[in-house]
Amino acid sequence: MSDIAPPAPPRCAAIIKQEAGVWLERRDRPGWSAEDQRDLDVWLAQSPAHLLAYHRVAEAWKQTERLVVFRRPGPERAQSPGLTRSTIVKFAAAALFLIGVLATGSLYYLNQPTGRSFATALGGHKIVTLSDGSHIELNTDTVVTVDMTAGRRMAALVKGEAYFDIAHDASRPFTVKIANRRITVLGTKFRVRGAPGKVEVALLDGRVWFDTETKGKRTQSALMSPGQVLVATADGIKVTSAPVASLENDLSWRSGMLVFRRTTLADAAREYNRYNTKKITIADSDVAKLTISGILPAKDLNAFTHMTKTFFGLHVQDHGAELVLSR
Amino acid sequence: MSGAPMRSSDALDWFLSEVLPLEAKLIQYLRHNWRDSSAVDDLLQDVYLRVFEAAMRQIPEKPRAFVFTTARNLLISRFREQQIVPIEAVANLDALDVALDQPGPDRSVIARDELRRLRAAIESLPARYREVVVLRRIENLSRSEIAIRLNLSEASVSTYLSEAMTALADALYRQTEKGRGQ
Repeated sequence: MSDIAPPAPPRCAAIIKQEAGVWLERRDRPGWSAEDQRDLDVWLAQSPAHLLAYHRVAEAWKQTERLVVFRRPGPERAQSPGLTRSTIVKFAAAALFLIGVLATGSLYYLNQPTGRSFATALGGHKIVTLSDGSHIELNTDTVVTVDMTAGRRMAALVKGEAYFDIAHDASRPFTVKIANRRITVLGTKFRVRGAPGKVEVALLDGRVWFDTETKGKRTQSALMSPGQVLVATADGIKVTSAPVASLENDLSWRSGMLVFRRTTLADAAREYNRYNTKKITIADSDVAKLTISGILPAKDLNAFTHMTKTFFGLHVQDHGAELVLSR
Repeated sequence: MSGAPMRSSDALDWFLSEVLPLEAKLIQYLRHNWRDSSAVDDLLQDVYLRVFEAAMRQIPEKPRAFVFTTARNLLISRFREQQIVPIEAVANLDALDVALDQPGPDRSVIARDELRRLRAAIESLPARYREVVVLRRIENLSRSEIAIRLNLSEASVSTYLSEAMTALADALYRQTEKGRGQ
């Protein structure tokens, strides 16, 4: 038996590599049959070069299984999809969400902050995955700082709005600060929005403590339950209840959508203006009181103006930096 | 069924765990010593084949030394075939000893490093490859769902995925030290 019988002149390595990729992709599809496997075995047996090239690519691809740690835990993915209307809406929303993320051209999933600051511009949207597996989603025009250490988990909402999905860790409570307000959680999902003089917290899951500090003292505290919306202003704290499902609607910005339910045009315009540099102005108060319902893309002003034209017969004047709606 | 005897699967396991991690260094070595850089993939394949055939008979005890010695012998035989031995090639071939003396990173460092390396590899991919990898692996979407998201046909998604898989293997195994963790 000859010692080194160099295998039959191997074919071009680049081509074999490409073929290996094609096989692996086929293998990754659902419905891989015994017949497919036979075909693959035949190809693999043709040359050790095939065998090595295939397993080299497969080994690299297998490593990407680790990426599940960046998987976004979302209600729409956890439930088995039925053909209900809400599923379809959520599905569509998820699609838009994803495109929004990809369009920014960067893998926010892959960021791991420690003592770092994250910001979005007007109309921006960003997902940050923390080292403990928690996620923070930043809405338009938002700044969040994060400080993760062995002993504590801290974040501060400097401005804007963010959705927090906090991984449970009883030994390290997660604290979110907004000015002199403080939210302490063990593991939960909630949304925080800070406006001048006002903080709004919507709790979807779990429990959180909401504290206000005045001169280093805790003056007002509230323990929130799922479905509660807390609004803190200088006048005090007000807690109202809402179905968790409707709170999830309020999180539609995560998918780049705005949800209106009998919303006045004035309020709708205010929402659009949070996301777009081009501002909507409503010329008269009668128009401002008209209400709309629907789900519309936050950054597509045309969709909105088209609807107001069609439904209410409004006139839309485009002044460049401003869109004026009137009768 | 794999159709391969036990020894061949042992050799394959050994190849994947011991030889593949050397690919970046090996490529570097081959590039240094062979003028025609377009031939490097073929040279690498030849080195892998020789190493693998040897491992089918007996698993080499010192993978690193074995792989680089095989590469060196391959280059020498190629030089002979071409009947030209560039002076600098001989000088560089000697540099092999230096490469062999460098200890490889220990296992725990490799394990800790893997996720970071994987990220760096994915981030280095062209945008379209990166997108399909993210959609497939992080978002766990099917090909038809990816097709809808990216406004492509399913066939195109499959093509991109297969190319992305190949590109990812190259990016992962050919990352140089200074290219890592950026």
